[in-house]
Amino acid sequence: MSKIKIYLQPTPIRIWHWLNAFGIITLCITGVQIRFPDHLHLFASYKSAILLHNVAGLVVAFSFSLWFIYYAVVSRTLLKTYMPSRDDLEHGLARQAKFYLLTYFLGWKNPHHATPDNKFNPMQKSAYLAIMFILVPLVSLSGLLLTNVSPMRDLVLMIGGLKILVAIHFLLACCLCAFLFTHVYLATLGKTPLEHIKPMWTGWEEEDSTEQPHHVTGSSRLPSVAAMPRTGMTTRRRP
Amino acid sequence: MKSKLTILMVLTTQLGLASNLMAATGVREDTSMVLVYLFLGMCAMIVIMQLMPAMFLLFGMLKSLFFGHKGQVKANPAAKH
Repeated sequence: MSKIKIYLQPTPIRIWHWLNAFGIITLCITGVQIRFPDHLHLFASYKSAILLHNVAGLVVAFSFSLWFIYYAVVSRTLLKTYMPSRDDLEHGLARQAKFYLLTYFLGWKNPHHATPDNKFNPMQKSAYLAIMFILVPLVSLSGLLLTNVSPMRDLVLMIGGLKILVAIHFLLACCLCAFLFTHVYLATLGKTPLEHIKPMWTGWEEEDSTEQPHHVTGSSRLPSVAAMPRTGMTTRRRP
Repeated sequence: MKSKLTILMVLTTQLGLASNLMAATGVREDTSMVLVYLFLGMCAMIVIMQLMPAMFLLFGMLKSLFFGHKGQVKANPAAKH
């Protein structure tokens, strides 16, 4: 059976993804020590945990801007990639939820087929929309306010004071941490546990040439020219 | 004699406590910057590893651009025979 290689994840997105993953894991671990200093001593001191937390926060904010600039300015597919369509909301969400909850365990194929033009399934689109457009900006902003309180003192007071701001930051971070576990679990639901993780590291996804998705037909299955790296590489066919 | 012994005991206790304090300050060394450098080093490694294929590709393109023609010239006479 021949294999087709599709260039699914461009380099800036891969750099963003892994910086983001490493940064968020560091933020979670250091955040737990900062929140519960009497119970957890993972790092040498409270001060070192705070310093590492601040640096990791800046790295995540920087990688977030890389992601935003790439999708909004370079590829100009930010809304197309992340905004669920009407069909996604009416049928796609239920179809995908059914797959994750039931039909995956019966050995059925994934109803969504990832292409460079349509990377995410309806559930991913909805989740990433909430995370990338609401959760990450809010947790980053609240973190920035906590890092340096004095210049934005009025804003902090308007929110309700430091205690409220800390509580908001903590709750948002808990949501992000909960997403992380779900994300890693769902990422392992391929034919093999690494099937969906590998393309995020190499950029290329391998698939059987005979595989026909349910909802994508004909030429739309091929990767778009814009999504290809500008090096003349195209879809490769393996014997 | 008894008072000298008392003074000696007090001094010994004081020195003993002081040595504990000095040991404690030695243990609490500030390693914050080491952790930050480790974190930033890992981030740099992620970026370098992701950029590696592009760098190899660029290197290959440059190589074929500058040395590719020589290979073709050498190969052509052999093809005639």
